[in-house]
Amino acid sequence: MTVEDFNSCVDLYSDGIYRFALKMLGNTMLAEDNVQDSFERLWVKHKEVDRSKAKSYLFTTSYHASVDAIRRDRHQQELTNAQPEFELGHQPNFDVKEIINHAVDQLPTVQKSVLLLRDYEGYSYDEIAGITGLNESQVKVYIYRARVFLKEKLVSIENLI
Amino acid sequence: MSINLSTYEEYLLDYIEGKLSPEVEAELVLFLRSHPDIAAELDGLSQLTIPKPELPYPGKDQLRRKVKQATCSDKELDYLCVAELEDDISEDERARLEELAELSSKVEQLRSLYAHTRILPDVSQVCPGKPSLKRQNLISTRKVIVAATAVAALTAAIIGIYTINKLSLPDNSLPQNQVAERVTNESQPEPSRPNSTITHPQIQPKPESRVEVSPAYKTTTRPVNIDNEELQPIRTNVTELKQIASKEPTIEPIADINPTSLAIAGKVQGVAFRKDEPVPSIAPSTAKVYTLADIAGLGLKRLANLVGISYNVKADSTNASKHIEVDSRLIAISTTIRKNE
Repeated sequence: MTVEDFNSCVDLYSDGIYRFALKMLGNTMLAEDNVQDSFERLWVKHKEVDRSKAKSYLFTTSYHASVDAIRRDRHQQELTNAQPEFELGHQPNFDVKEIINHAVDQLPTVQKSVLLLRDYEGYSYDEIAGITGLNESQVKVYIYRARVFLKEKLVSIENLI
Repeated sequence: MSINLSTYEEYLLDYIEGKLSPEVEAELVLFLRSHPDIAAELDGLSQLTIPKPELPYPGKDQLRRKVKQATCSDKELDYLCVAELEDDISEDERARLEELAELSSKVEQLRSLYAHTRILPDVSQVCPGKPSLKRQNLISTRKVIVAATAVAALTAAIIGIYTINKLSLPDNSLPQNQVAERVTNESQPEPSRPNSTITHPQIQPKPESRVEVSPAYKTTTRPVNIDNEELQPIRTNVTELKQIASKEPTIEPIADINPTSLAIAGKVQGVAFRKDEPVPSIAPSTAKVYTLADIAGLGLKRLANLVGISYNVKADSTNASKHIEVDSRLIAISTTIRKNE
């Protein structure tokens, strides 16, 4: 991949990776670091990575970095006994989009990541499997569970209303 | 409303079946108290019931229609709705879902709920540090510099070779201290000629005179001091190689000039003579002799003048050589030219 290819990847994929990282991490600073780190790693390997594989390489890097950051953060929360930042039941806002957004944040990390890759980027099961290191069946199961979880959240809110 | 003897019957059945309103029922009760004979008739009427016959229809099963299976587990319905949303549904599964949708409105509700689970990215969120992620094309710039340098060097080499080959210069353009010696007699070899003792006679400019190369010289080696102790443990052939490599080459004139050596010398100035061809005779009165040092010096100076760069000629008094430095922004050429080379 040439320098021009690399720069075109910045134009095409940096926003998507930023949104993915921001949704995964819930923090703009961490998301920016994640994007920087992903592109830095791609630059180190840019002579070996084919242009057609660059997007997948970037999301793979971003995914693993996000999972690592979440694990570190969870460990930190356990050490400090911090409470989760958001509880759905405590929110008075019943906008469906908001409910879904907050419900997504409550998903397990893997389910959340595969769902984001599926909905944000439109990746196929096979591509998501390649990025996350899961197999295709696992990806399907995680997406199914995530959607059922989100649906249940919506149903519970409807019952409350 | 008034219940009297002509209208009381229409209320009695409703009273027995308990279908009267409380107001009408109260009025009827008052009427019956005032008419005990009618009240007695009502007591018997209320106990009269027709028993339900136990007579099932024998052809009931044949009359039944096949009812579509509308029952479906929630899990199956979730699976089908998610599969449809993911566009990962088979034809059979799609048909099953449509069938369920016709029988139950729950399917449509679920479809609507699952449609909301598809999360869309917020396109207003853009990466803030995008420009800083881009890289400069440093490699290409370096390649351009290398290529430009290579082209400049190649051009300089071509011009230098062209200048050397041309060599139709007037004699007065030569530097006085680099003028070659005139060939006086081809058959008379010069004795050993130390570099420091060479004298250059004044050459008169003769534009038409052909420039000839000086009599060919043979190269010999002058041994320098070698530390025998260092060379001692080395094998004999390696020792010889070291001695050869460490000897400073000097040039001495060949004692006997033969046609072959002249032919070899002639190639230097671009006039190649074959061995079997007769060597043209050189008139001692007209032939001018240039050493290779003169030719190289002239070529470099002309090259420097041609490309517009500065040069500096430094004389080295220790070994009677010339040191020409040619500088430019891209290249720097430095060469040492000794006499008689």
